[in-house]
Amino acid sequence: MLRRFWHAVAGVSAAVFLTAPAAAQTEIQWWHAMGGELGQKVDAIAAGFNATQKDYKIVPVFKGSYTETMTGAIAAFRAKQQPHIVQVFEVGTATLMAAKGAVYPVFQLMKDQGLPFDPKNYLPSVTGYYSDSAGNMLSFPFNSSTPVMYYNKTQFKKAGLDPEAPPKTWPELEAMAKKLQASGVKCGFTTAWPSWVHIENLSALHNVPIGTKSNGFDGLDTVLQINSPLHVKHITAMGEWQKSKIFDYGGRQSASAPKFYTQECAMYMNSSAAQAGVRANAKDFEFGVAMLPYYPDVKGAPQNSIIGGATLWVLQGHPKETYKGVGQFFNYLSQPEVQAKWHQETGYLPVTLSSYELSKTQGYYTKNPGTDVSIKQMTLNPPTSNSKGLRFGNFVQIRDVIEEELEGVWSGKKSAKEALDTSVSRGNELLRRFEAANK
Amino acid sequence: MEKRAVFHSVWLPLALVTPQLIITFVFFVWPASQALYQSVLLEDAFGLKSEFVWFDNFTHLFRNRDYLDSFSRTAVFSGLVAGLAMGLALLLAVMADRVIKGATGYKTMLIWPYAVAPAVAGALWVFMFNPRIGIVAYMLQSFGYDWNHQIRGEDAFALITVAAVWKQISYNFVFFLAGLQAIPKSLIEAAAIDGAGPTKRFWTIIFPLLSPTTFFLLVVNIVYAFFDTFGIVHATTNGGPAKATRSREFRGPVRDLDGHCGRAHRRPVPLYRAQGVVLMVERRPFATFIAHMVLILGIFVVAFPIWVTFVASTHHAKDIMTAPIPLWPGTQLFNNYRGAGGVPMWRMMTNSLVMALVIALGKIFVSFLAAFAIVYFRFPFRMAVFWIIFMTLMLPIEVRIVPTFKVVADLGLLNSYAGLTIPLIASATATFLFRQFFLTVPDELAEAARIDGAGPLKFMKDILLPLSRTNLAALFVIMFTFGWNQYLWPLLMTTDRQYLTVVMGIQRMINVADTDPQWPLVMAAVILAMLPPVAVVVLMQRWFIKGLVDTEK
Repeated sequence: MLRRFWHAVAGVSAAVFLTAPAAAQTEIQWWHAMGGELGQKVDAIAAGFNATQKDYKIVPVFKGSYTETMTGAIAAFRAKQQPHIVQVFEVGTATLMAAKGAVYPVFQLMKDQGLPFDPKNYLPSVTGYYSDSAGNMLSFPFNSSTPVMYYNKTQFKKAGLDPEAPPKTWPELEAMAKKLQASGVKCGFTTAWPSWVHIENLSALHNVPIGTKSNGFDGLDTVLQINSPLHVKHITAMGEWQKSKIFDYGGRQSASAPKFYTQECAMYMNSSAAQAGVRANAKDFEFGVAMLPYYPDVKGAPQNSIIGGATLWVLQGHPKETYKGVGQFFNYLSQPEVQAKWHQETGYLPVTLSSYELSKTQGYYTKNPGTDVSIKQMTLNPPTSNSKGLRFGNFVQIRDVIEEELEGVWSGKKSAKEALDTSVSRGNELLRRFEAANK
Repeated sequence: MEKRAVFHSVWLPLALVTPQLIITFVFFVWPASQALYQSVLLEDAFGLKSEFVWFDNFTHLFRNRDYLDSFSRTAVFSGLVAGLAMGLALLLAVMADRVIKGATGYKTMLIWPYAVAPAVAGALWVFMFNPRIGIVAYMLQSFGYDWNHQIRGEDAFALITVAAVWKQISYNFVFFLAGLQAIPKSLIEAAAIDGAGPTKRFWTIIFPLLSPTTFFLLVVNIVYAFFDTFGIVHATTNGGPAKATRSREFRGPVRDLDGHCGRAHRRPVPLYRAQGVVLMVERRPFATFIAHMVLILGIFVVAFPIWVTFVASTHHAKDIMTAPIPLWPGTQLFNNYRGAGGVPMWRMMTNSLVMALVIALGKIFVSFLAAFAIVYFRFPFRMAVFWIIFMTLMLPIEVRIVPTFKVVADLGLLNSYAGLTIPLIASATATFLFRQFFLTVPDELAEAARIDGAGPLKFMKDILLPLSRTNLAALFVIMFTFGWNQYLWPLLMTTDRQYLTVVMGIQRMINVADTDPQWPLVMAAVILAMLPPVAVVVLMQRWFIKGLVDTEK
């Protein structure tokens, strides 16, 4: 019995070794966190590149969630087994940026390979997020998105509202939510990613800092400033709205989606990349896409929104010639056709201006109304130091802290001021830890 | 407790413990010492710069009020989980012990949840308790309770408690049932003749006789609630809302390399010697009826989540996102099962099977040899060897995964079945359990064998091995399930799709950034992934239960 088993094991392993392809090409490992259908699209991109040339083979590897992928890449780097390319979410940016010696900056790589790479071809609020203070792009923007507001047109109609005129400002939203509720809708709006939408993007849209030192861009000795009067005002309002169900909390990340799908809430703020999911799940109603609301009494609002998503980082420590392949791959990724296809299939932003233009000439936005809201919102104004993004170390943990504290407000246990003050003090502690470790 | 009769050899026992020692040193002691060293450093993530800071990291931790708060929350949680999981399991076991008809059926149904991977169990409960679409939340709401664990801390706490209890109930049930069946029926008969009612008999005879099992389970359950519920908390509430459910271990980095350490010493030292006398069983139709009712209710509670999973796997995604979730299978069964996973399902199943089998058999083999050497020989450093092996039980597992990865990488074992399995084979718990068992084997057997001229190896093969059969079966079930449900380790150390396992495949389907998972497909994969461990548990359960009761033949 046991012997037969070992035979079986030997058989399986032999089969595995025999089917491994002969390594005539140079393999380039690309670790990513795109599960489900996105994973299949990633595979298709890799296959597309592999078909254009013979010297390199991009091998995409799914390594779990964003956090697991990043942890895995770091563990691999410490064991000298790192991939060439790793996909890291935006909040991991500061960690990778601080890891000089581990990271091969993309602008440097493209220069070394003599490949064309002009940041001006990319959406400014995307490049801003991932560039150093001299404006050099350190990583390659792959999947970027920005929060938008989805709303239920059918319910708007029923409530006697114009389905083509979604609320532009928070006071408008409040008034409309009340009308919607009067018509029988249970809740006005819900949101995904509370910190990203209602703290980070709220700040950017109103041109208010999230932290000192240009949101952390100009130095590690930054401190959070998310307890400003504007933040307190907005979170206080949300806390009040929670009581009357003008707002109803539905959990972190995208856990609140069913509230919108089941028509419990008439409006829903989430990433522009969630549009495919909304389309697939909006069973008995029509939906529209709008920009995030703002407070009209704040000067300069709306400024522009900031992105989320992930970029591709190149890791050091591989033979020189393999980086030539990496450069060629990035070159391929930047092509308008490739970008436009990825943008249209997934709902992520077209990161190059030419792919945006191409999508326009293809008539994509007229055929799919609402898909360009995200781009328009991102490019409302040239980004300021408050709205080009954020760069805080340990931001994964800081976001958890903020969302924890916000939950205290939704449940009525804390005032907005208390919760935001605590977020600042707890967040600053994490920032100091990061500063100490990355002097 | 020492053996009187021992074999004499120096080299043989050393040879026998060598495999265990090598694995322990390479994959436990060395990586763990690396991890300990790192705990006194302040380092950036990539390990490019590091500074020796003495105990700053620890003082930092203990100054943190949240960290201390989570300690007390964990204590409450552990007490609750242990109490509920044991109380309910005892009730079910007492009832199952009463009934004769259909007993096997009941047992089989009640043992299922044990085979469900912790990470998957978490996803399942989230699905059922989702305030909007979850079936349980829907029921609660129709009773007038506005369930919302996303805002209300108490609800969230209740959710993780229920999930953790559910996962543990079947395990406790098996042990209690084994303990109950070992209680001599003659004692109960005698009490009945003396006029003691069922309640009195339970509290004065059964419960005291059950106390070793109870005590053992208490320890195991508390350890479980402390260390093994990370997967559930992570998947269900992520520590929220507002930290209400963040227990102590949740603060650590992601863990699970060898997460069974709390689970594997579940097999107690043989407790009783069953007296094979079957006496007249009481005939009380009403009591039997009640017993059946309780069992059916128990099965309903325990198997309900699995039913929901199955039902969800037979519908369109849209129907599942609408409240209330249907309770009857839909029409999409074959479509969903065909579409489960981008990588061929059979490939993932094969990988999981190879991994689970090699880990289970490897652990048993290595531990058996080591325990034999430690019990039946006197050799230099014998106790030192024992303690080195035993120490690996105490080492914090969560910190070891990154250094272990480095060791495996340096050995060139990434992307191989060897790398997937060998680091998980070293198991102090199995060695420890075999040792405890060997100590209870009568010395006369070894003496007789020696007089008959049998050498140690022959004694081991012809006498000890057959005697351990039931223990082997019990360990096999535990280790197989452990190996099958591994997630983090295979994820970290494979980059080749050839090595994708089922649990990894499921995570891949759940981890979709920015959109919604295809729940029906996920659920189909969950059902498929559950089948092999369930099959092992069910097929082995007869041996399994026996292995926990009595070893003397």
